[in-house]
Amino acid sequence: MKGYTLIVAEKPSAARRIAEALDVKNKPELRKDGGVSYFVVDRGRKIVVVSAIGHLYTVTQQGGKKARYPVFDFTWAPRHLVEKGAGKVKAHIETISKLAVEADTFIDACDFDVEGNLIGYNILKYACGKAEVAKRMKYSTLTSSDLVEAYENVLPMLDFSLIEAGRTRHEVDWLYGINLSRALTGAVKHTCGRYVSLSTGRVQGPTLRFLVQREEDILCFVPTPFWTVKAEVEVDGRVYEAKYEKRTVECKAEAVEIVEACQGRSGKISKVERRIVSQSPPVPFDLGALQREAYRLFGFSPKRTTDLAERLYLDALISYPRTSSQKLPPSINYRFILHSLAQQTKYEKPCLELLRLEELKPHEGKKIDPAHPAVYPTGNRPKRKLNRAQGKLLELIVKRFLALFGDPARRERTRIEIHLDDHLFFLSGSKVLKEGWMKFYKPYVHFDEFELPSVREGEDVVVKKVTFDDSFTKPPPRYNSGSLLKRMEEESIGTKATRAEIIQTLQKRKYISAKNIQVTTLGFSLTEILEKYASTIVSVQLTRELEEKMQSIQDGEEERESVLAEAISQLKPVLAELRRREGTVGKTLNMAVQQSMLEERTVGTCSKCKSQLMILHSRKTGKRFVGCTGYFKGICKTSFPLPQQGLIKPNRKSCLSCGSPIVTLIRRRRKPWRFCINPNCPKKRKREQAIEL
Amino acid sequence: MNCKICGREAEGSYCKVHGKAHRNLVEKFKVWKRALGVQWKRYLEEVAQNSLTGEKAREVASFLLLEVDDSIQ
Repeated sequence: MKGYTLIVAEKPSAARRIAEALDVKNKPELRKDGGVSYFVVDRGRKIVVVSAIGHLYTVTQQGGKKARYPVFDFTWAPRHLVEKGAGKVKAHIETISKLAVEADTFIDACDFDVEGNLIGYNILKYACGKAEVAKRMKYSTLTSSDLVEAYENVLPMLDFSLIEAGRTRHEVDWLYGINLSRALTGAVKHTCGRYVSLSTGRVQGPTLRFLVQREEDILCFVPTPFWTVKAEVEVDGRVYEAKYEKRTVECKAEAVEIVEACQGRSGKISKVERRIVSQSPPVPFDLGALQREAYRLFGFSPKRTTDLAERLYLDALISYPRTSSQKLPPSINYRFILHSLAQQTKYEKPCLELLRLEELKPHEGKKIDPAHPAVYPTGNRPKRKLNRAQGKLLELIVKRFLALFGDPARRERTRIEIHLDDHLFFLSGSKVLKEGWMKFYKPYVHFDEFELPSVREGEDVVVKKVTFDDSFTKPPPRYNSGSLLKRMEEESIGTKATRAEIIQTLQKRKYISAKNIQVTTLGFSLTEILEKYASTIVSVQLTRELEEKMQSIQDGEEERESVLAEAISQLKPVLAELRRREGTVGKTLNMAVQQSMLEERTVGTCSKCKSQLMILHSRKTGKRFVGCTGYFKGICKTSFPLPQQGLIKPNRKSCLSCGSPIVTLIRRRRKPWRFCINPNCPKKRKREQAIEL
Repeated sequence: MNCKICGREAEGSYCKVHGKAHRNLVEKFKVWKRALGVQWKRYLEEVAQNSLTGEKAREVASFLLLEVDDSIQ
């Protein structure tokens, strides 16, 4: 086989789709070489489609593997030579190199974004040696029509500015990550002889700083009292709760005075105000919005949503998800998608309703992405059974797409003002007049309706009683994955493709814990050290500036070399300072690591002796159990059994029935199980008795 | 100098976080005084007992209460 076109795809499933779409009979020949599959396609001329498995090349230290720092000399190398567990990469590189020998045309068909461009470029450069002459297929969905169109209208060359931006991002991130992580890990190792894997990076540092700042605000929070005054009024035999004109009263004496002045008075309706509010449909999903909505509705972490969306994209069910666009151009053919979706029973009714419209115009947002439109469904029916999570995400994307074409929703807001002498109270209510787009987006949207009675100005109302409630201001809420992602977007740190992974890395490194993100002792100590000795690393400003410079490379306004030189000049003094303070840094981090390990094992307080209850292992049997630390002082023998399989995580909560600590058991492919550690908990007994009966 | 509460490195009497909690306590006292007319000691007792008070603010409030008691004795 000689003289063919070699197409390089990013993933095996994408390669299969491309091959099937381009083959005249849609049945490409599957061949294998060294365990790597590739497809031979007949399309008048021979085409070979082969895939990578994500990045085959990575940045690494030049000149030996010794973990030293500072290190500023780097090179790109095959991943299997650098990373453990990347053995498959070798076979892929070898197969692609072999196939490249007899090919005469080269096409990069990896995803059209920074990462995809870089994956394709590295393969074509290092494995094929043809990056300069390669062409580029650009598509946003893996549907046959899009792929054929992309092949027929192949771009004459690779997008080198995007590639340069991608290379720089990887190189800068490597410089920051490797040097700082080695500095921190080395500090603990040299000072205390303990090996702990610690890391920070260009985006990780500022992100953790946000979380620490919020945690400090919560820890240092001092509540202040306030009062809310309300009046119970009777209209048409129904009692309503009217609020006082000042939502909060900051002085108790004033609240008492208002209540006393209003007690026993009759009320008069002084004003009835009705306002029609129009609410536009939502905008199409960009990746960030999809991640936030999936978190809000299903509790999916951003990383999980990205992975699920990626799978749906590879199944040609949705368009490319790593997009920052909120636009849907007419070229995607709205009517065709709606017709296709209408073939599925559950979408038939809403799709037919939309198809009856003369003009289909989606409501769009402001954000633009030159590479891809917003996320939309292709209209294809799933060819395999989707799992629950994939099904949920696909349905969300479909319903969002349908909602874009709906009319604005209309609601009537009513405000009834009631005067009790000089004091003004009000009732507020709302009802939906026209559902508009909301009916297409159910059950993901709903409004609380509260209908008020029909009254006229000047009418008297019976005031049953006037009271006040005392309350306190609440601390700011903790970040969750969704709100943290939003904050990162607002601060322009990280990219749509990397933000979710950064959050996951912070969790993996045990700097943060729980769904409502809480910073651990280790996270606090690390940020404190970085603020003290490497303040530039946690500075949002510097990260953002670097981010803007990398965007400038993409726009062709900045040189890769100058950005790299700047990153190195910023790093050098920081690393020198960390080296100088190695002893202090090492000791502080080591203490934090020990504290964190203790925290992980501490489940609560012993009800008998008030010592700590910890997860311990029996010396005799090796089995784990919860034991009181008072045992070591000879004052307490409290202990509780634990399941021996799975991961036990303390919940920091107590059982409402017996007050013993609650822990969560995490096992593979099972739902997390929260339980009270006390086997004699009255609640458990009750349940057992009920089962027996 | 070390923090009077946790013994960590401090610039004044408190470390960074306890210092922030202390500043918050002093600042919010004005609001409490206006709202309820309470005195410093009563204010500290209320804040120390309140479930919404942050852990560090509670530690400072409890520490200040001890100081108030000592000064009375």
